[in-house]
Amino acid sequence: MPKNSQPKLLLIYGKGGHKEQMKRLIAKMQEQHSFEFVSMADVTDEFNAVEHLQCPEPRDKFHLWKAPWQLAHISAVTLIQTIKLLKNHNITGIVSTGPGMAVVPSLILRLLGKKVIYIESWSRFYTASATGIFMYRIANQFYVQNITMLAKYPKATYSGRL
Amino acid sequence: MKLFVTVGNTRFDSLFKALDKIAATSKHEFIGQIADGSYIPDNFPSFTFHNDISAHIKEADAVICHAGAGSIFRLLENEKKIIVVFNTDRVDEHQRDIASFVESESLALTCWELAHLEELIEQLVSFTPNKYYKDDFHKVDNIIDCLFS
Repeated sequence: MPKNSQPKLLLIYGKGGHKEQMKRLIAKMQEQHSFEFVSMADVTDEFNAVEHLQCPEPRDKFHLWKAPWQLAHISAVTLIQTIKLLKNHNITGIVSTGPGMAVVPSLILRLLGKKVIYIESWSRFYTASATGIFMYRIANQFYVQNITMLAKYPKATYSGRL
Repeated sequence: MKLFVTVGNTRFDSLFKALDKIAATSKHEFIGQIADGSYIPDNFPSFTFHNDISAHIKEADAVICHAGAGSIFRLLENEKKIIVVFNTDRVDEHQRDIASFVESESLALTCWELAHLEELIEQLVSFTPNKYYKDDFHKVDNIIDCLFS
């Protein structure tokens, strides 16, 4: 039993555009439903999470050779952080706007029977992201913001753009 | 023209090197947001990050930006004239989709090679972009239902 039994969402996002998408999504969701949330991101919290855990960047944009190490590192860190959040909070679902740090927590929460929602990045028009390919299989609901992406993810839901 | 240059969170030293050369003889005014880049332009003022770049965007006649979606959508929503520059310093191709999209829809001028940047800046003066149309996010109800029902 978590220390705090109030139901909460876990929101996961990365810096830059991923954070901006989450900011817009939170605003739209809060217009319709009040909720508490904890969060995990590679930046500091600006959205008033009940608890926020900062994780490493999931990729190095300038050095390809760092990728395998970073993948192992981010997986281990997000695994530990997810367990910590699950111990402290009653997490009922996860929502992510990417990128890769969402994969391990989503897998764990899905295995625990929680709801997993993934919104593929608004930057994707013609090609699928590696995270998107994983999350397409893991998520209960998978949204694409550009209609052209239905060619890549036929079972996705087109949502319009944040 | 007053040109604001922004690269969001991702350094792009090659862009600022190219612009520094252009600015040395250009009639246009530049100001740059260089993120954590190591190249500091000599010929125009620059800064690393700022919580709010909206004043710079507003004051600029046009914006040169990296092909990051967050930067591009914000500028399109503000109806700015833009040159989108594909970040060739990155090892991944993450900016290719959106750069192709804005180019194919004539929403912005797109620079795939920095050698063409000077020419694109001159084209910008007479460039009229297509109006940006956004199909607003309309699946919040589904998300709320899934999470809270």
